[in-house]
Amino acid sequence: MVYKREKHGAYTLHTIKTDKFKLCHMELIFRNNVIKEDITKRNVLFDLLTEANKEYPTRRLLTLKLEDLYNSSIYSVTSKVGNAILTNVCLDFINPKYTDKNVLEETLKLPLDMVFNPLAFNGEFDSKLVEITKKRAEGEIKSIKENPKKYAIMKAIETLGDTPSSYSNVGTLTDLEKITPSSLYKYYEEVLKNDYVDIYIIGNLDMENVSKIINKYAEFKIIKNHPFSFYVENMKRKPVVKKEKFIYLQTNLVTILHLNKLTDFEKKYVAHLYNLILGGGSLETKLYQRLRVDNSLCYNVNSMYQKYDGLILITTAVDINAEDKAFKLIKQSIKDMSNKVSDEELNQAKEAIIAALNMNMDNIGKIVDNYFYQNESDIDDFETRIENFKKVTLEDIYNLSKKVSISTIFSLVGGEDNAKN
Amino acid sequence: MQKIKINNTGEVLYTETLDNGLKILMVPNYKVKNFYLTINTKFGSIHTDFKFNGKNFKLPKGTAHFLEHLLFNMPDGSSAHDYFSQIGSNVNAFTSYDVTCYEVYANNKFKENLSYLLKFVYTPYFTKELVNGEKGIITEEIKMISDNPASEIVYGLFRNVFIKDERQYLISGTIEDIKKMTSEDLNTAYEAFYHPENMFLIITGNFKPEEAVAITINTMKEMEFSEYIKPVLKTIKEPSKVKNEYAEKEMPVDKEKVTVCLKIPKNNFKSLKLTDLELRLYINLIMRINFGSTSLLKEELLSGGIITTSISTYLIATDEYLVQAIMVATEYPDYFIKRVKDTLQNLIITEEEITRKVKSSISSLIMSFDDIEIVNNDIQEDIINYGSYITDMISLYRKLNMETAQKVLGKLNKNISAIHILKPKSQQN
Repeated sequence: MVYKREKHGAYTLHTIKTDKFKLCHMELIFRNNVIKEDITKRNVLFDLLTEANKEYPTRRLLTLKLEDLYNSSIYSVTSKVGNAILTNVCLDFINPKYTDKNVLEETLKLPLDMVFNPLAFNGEFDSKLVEITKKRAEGEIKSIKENPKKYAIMKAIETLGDTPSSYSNVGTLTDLEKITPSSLYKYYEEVLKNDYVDIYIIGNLDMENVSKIINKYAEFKIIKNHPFSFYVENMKRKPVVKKEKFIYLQTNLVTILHLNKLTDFEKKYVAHLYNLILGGGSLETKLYQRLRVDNSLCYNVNSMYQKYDGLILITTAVDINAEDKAFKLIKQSIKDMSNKVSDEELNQAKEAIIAALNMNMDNIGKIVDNYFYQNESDIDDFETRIENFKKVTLEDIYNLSKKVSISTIFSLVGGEDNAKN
Repeated sequence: MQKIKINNTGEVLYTETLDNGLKILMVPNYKVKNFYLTINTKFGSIHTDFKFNGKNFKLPKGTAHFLEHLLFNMPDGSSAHDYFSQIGSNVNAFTSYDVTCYEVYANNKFKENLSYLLKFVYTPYFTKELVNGEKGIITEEIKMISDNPASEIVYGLFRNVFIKDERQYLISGTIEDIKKMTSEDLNTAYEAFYHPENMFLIITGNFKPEEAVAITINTMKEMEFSEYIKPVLKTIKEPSKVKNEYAEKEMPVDKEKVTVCLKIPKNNFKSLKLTDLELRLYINLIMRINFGSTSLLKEELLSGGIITTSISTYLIATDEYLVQAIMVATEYPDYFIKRVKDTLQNLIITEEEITRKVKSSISSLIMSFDDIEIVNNDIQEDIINYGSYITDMISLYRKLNMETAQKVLGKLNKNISAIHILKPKSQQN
């Protein structure tokens, strides 16, 4: 795998040459500090940009073109990572070696055309297109309730107060209502003006040629130089306990743990292993053992380490009568992390994380992620990460557990009675 | 060992059948770091009623899934999860209507992973205590499934389409079914369906086929298997009618989820002399052109605000029927149903569209070989659906033609068989 980085004025091009895949993959990554009111606008904007443009004014015409380009695909993903908002405009396409006609330039040009030649006239996006994408965003926001786990997490993180960690990824209906074809176009101009932009391309391609093609069509003009950070500083606090009723059969529980003032080494290594032992890894975790194996209380129980927010989120769904017992067992599992972790558990967590790092190296998108976070965040290179994970001791885990406190206990209480008759 | 080229992809399939009857299918990929092992038995949720060794059996619904959960327990009190966790591998399992699959994903210790996968799957251990302990877990799993509208769309459809076919029931069984489960039921199921002759091992990713076969032989040489007696499944004659032409259910959904379905007897196409696979490819093609992402209907419904995303299509086949589902989320179910009815009466196919879809299907297939899980799953599905892995899929795509497509279209039942709607359920204030 040969990685190269080229600064092209207002954007940086990263090429990763590898013969590992028959697929090739390109990402235009836009990033900035998150602003709560802009999340909804951003979701609508990038959905609109990848739905149609001046040359292909409907999604159908664009899809027909993509099929002609040997079933290439274009899509965007917007995600909030700690204090940052990232949008990845992605292109997947087959290596030209497998096609009867070379359409590389046409293929690489397409996502750039989508960004630079949107369906807009006189400072406004096409109103029909805005309507379609707004309706889709409305569906996304409202349908969160269809996924009990996601909905419970959304409600639980709201308790964190005014911090980027509490913002919902999908946006809000209030912000959606305010979007007009012209306000959205203004935001589009702001994004082009203010967002940092990186272009990553991976595949078995002549990267010099790729660089020339991209340079020809990438019209990013403004060089950015403002502060940008992934990390959010959340403050330690007394636990907030909150309950809400909903019409699911099960009660969904979310426990948010705050990690107070971790060192860099703890953030990057110890906390990952702590999380894996607690509930993030295999089916042998503290939480899994206590809740599922020993007490048959649930099918799933997981914990997720949110590195840039300094939080761990524990989620499970249990019988409506088992809520108190489940929370008691969750608390016991957290307590176990301060003095009852075995060498075996730590070694298993290390094996699991090293295996996961290796697994990521077979996934074209995760390879791009890996380089992106190494370049823009504080992630170490692959070998250093493996070495440092190996260095973590039980004492490190116990020390970290002293910095863990419960921040939120949230129950989305289920029950047929909650429904309107 | 047999070596077969997978046409036009540069990939090779290796196959071997062991003396005990276990079939091994392997597609190595030396460019990736990982390997993916699955051992599969042709035993799913629909196989509850059968004759085995001279006796008739009727197992509780959900037996295959329950057995899948319990098989991880080992006689020494450990769980297979313990072993795989220790060596940093991912192990899991799933049960569908017609197969149970145990899977391991890892990137080192190939021998240990493969040996232990075989070892735990061929070590049944079902005590009364284990069975009772698992009931609580599976009960919560069933509730979790019941809270998920995406699952209800599929289950609701099958519940209303099938009259006798076992696909009308939950793969997991209901909470009541689970309460009835005994270790005897599990032992019966294991004995009847977990013989190597009824199973197949699929390996994809970075490994050496010769070594994989040697490890499998070596691991299994001390395992004892009785002579294979094939369970005789009860033949079910599914009527051409559906159980309910219209059904609705309330769930916490934002807008109506509508599924329109065609129950098509395979017999309709008998005179065309197409294989099952060819027939499915033609039906998929027709549905993709008329309801897929490039269809005029999708564009019309999207621009008219009837839908906000896409129209999903889903085709399943039983022995006698093809069940084609067409699904959307919409605030206007009646209008959507009307437009589907109109479209079904005026289905179109053009030479240009066939060429484009064939080209895009071939590209997708070639790209899918990058993913060792997809390759493994495709082999599994082909074996379950067609009896063997289809290694010349690209030639089959290239053979799709206008003339045959028109004939299939002519024989397609174009009347909606059933409609299933999930309606928003309101929250009490």
